[in-house]
Amino acid sequence: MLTYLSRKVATLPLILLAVSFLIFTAVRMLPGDPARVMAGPQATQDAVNDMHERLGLNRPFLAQYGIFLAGAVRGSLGESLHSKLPVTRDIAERFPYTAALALTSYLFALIIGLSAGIFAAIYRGSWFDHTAMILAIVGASIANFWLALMALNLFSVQLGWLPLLGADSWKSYVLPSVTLGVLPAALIARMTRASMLESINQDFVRTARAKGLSSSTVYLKHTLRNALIPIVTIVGLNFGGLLGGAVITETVFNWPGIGRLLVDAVRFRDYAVIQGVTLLTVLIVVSINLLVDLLLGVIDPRIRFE
Amino acid sequence: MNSAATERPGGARRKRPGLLRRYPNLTIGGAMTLLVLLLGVFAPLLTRYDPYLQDLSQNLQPPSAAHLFGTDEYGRDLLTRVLYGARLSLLEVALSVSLALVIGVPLGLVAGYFGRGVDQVITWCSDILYAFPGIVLAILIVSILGPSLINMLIAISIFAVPGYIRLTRNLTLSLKELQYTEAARSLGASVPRLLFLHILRNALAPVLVQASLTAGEVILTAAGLSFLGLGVQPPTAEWGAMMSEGRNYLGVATHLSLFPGLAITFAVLGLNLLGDGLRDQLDPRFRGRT
Repeated sequence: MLTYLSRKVATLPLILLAVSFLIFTAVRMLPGDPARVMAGPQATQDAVNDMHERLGLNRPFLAQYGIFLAGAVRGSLGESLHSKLPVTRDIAERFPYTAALALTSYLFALIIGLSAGIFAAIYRGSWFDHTAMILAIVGASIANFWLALMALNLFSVQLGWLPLLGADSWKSYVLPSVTLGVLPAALIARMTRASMLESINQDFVRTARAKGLSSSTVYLKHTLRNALIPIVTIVGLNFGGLLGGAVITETVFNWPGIGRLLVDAVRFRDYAVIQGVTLLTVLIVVSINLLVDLLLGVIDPRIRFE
Repeated sequence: MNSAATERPGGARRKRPGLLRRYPNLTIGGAMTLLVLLLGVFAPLLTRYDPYLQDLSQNLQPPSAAHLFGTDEYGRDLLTRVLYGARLSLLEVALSVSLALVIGVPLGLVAGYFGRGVDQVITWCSDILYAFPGIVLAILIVSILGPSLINMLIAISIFAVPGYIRLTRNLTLSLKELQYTEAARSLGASVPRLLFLHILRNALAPVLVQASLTAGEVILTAAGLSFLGLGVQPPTAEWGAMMSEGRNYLGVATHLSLFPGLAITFAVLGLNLLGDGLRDQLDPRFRGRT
């Protein structure tokens, strides 16, 4: 297990290094001069030159990357052109909102997706199975920002039950979490059903039944446990998609998270923020994928020895 | 013999189940996609309005007999704009899926066939792209290239490429070991001939399934980017951009967001069902699962 663990963990810094170089290069290709933006529209050429010097933009490209990397390792990602604050501070202020939104929507997706998938598999061919699977494929086809707009219109504008925008109370979490959680819930439901159906027909389930175990033990302990590998994989791999979805959902709900920070940064051409937020999302996705790999190794020991 | 009926041993004729019963996903998804295609292609013949001609005296009209989906803030007929939006969405799907295929499939073939260093480099690059959440990568690319239809399509294609590389590489790894490939190689077939004629031809079905399954995702991502103002720009009739305009009139003229969203759901649902149906038929692992 230790070898498996170290092999997987060793790839993380390498991928992050490559991604950071890619993002750094991409951001340097953005149109416009960051020094001029930072110095302000009225700044003289001398002031712009000074800013070039301060930001290290007149150094060779690789030297600039080295400075950026050394700063990133120390927890410094530069200064926002828009807010004039350190990027890490902007991110630290916004990230808890995105994390809370991602967790609540994934909790919603797991509860709905797993239970719908399990019951659809147990009652295969029933009206519940058909309804759940139709809803799942529709759920996988809806644009989450459209669902967000329609839910906002009904529950906030028309009925006035839930707050319109912002993140002030627990009620503010309901609509963004549900609308963001619909797609992963649909995917988890479909995968859980398919995976459960594959396990249900295996010999060990027949043996468990023949031993006289109760249905709940057969389904939850034997069938679901063996159906977990594809479910855990899809849950993990979809976390990146959820973070991507959060970018648009946060814009619709005026949610003060890093998704909206990224969209605003693109509008203001705030290079340092684009760089920082992109790097953070990649770090999260790569870490979650690593966690999934490790979890799969725990669930199924065969994976560790492949 | 009638193809729709089979003879029973006793002589009684039993009707074979229709297409809908045998291939429900394929039939319904195919019909929905065909409908979107026809509505998009024949949009100019189906409506008497111009999608871009403004008539401020008619702005924000609710749905009526004259304007079935109502009108937008500039008095343009919304049904007309939704129909023209179908054209653009199908064009987006065709162009970005083709671009991703053209880049991803040859790279996957080369990685799988040559292995070793070439494989490692290509897989490494693909893994790096995979580390980005799709829309975040698209936002990064669009912010470099600037917001426009073409740049958005390039961005969407780039984030779809790793999926095709992985799939084609894995298929090539197993196909190159099969006897017919060995036979072609021993007969002196060149590497391009082996890759594109022998291996690709047999990897085509799963690649097509992957293409149809990602087609719906293309529409959703393109609409999302346009909604954020990073894709197709107004006044172009694009579903995401139309919803972005309608967002300001929520509660006053909700139809501005409602109908483009319904159109997206219908088109994506059709493509997803079609993809599921194709996968059920072409991938033996899924046959009889539903």
